[in-house]
Amino acid sequence: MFEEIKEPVTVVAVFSRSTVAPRIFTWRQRNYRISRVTASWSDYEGEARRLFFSVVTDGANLYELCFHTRSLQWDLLRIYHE
Amino acid sequence: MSDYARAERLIFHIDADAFFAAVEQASNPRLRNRPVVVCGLPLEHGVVTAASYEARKFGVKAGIPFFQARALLPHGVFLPVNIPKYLSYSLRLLAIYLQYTPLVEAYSVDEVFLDLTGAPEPPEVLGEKIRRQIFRETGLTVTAGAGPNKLVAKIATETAKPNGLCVIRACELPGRLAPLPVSVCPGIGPKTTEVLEAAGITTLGQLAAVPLAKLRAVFGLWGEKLYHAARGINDEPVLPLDRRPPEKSIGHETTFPTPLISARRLEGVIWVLSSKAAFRLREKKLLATGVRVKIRARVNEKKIETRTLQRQLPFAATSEAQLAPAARELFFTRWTGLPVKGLGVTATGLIPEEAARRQLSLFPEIHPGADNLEPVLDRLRRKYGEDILIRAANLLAGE
Repeated sequence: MFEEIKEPVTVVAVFSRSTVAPRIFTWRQRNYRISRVTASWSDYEGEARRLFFSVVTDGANLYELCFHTRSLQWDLLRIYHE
Repeated sequence: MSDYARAERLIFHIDADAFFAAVEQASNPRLRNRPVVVCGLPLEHGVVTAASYEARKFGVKAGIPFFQARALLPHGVFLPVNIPKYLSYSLRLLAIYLQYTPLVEAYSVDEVFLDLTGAPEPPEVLGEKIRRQIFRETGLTVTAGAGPNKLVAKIATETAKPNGLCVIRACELPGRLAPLPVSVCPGIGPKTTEVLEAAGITTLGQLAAVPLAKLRAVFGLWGEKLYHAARGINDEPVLPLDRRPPEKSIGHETTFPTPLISARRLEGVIWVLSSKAAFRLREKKLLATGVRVKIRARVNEKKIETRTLQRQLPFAATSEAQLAPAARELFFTRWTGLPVKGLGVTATGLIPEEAARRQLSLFPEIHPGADNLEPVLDRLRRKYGEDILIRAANLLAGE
């Protein structure tokens, strides 16, 4: 099952050449260490590119993050629960 | 060079198994081997777009409403459709195929044809190699069919689903095709199958025994295609993107979870679909000289009737303000009031804008009725996304 969140989050990410790798995100004052990015994709909202990441943390859930390349803002879009 | 390569064309058809649902499973390890159902949004009012093979065992299939799928599969995992994600996986598959040949025809988001004529390895080895690489690099399983042409390759895929490989050589054609049901043949849909079955024809072998004249008499030009299809004859080339013929039509369709009977809402949907088609027309600098409306109406609990209506436009259109009234007129003159399960609007008879301008005598008015607001709206749509602004008429669709 999944839960729509759509809230801004703070993310520590590594930007290397053309790749972005999120490592840690902070949501509702709690830190989540990303153990693996299971998928990434992108789309355009008008001219602005958005990067999406499915990530797993040490817990049981899977999170979907979105990086807005125009505003440089990160959002937590959804959580997939067990 | 293998014996196969020396002797004949080698065409592969590759189809990703339960693509949308498989992408969700590949991108979320916890969903593997679980029944996954992908639905249109909003989920509660959506229609099933794809179901994993685990979900199909419970009778869940594309096209049924969410609530029905939920009743069949209460413990299933229901996810919203995510087109950008699927397109990204589709491009990853395309990149793999291009490592084997530049002759790759993207037949749909999850299906391709590859021309591997002259490949050094036997098709069985090559097919397994491609399938293994795809699984290793994307986590997706695909079914591959190989044959001497596109038709046979696609039939081969149909017989090997899911996660399989089937090779049919030209010398094996009559024997391998003969026992297969006519429905495996591309283009033979439920209606043609029904007509053939009524005549006692259920297999390709039986179809191959029908004389050409008889098929022509019943099906017209299509009868000739059936005659050749039953024999596995097809000479269509594999068309990579840069060699594809220009588009003949641009359209949009939608399916309603609950059939619509409100004329106002149906009119709103016609505007929304026309607006989407018109925006794509303008983006591709094309003009439409005709419009087609497809209506899927529910006759009774078991029967859905599909009607396609078409008309020429007295001008070359590029705006929803031109397409929608024509589509609306077509719809309302022929709609009998039956609940509408699905609706489609297609701009047809496309011509490049440049060509139309050169033939002004043929198209004296290129944009009658097109308002000056559209270029401004298009700029906003390009910058901020297609849904940034909608016409008030489109709001009727969501009443």
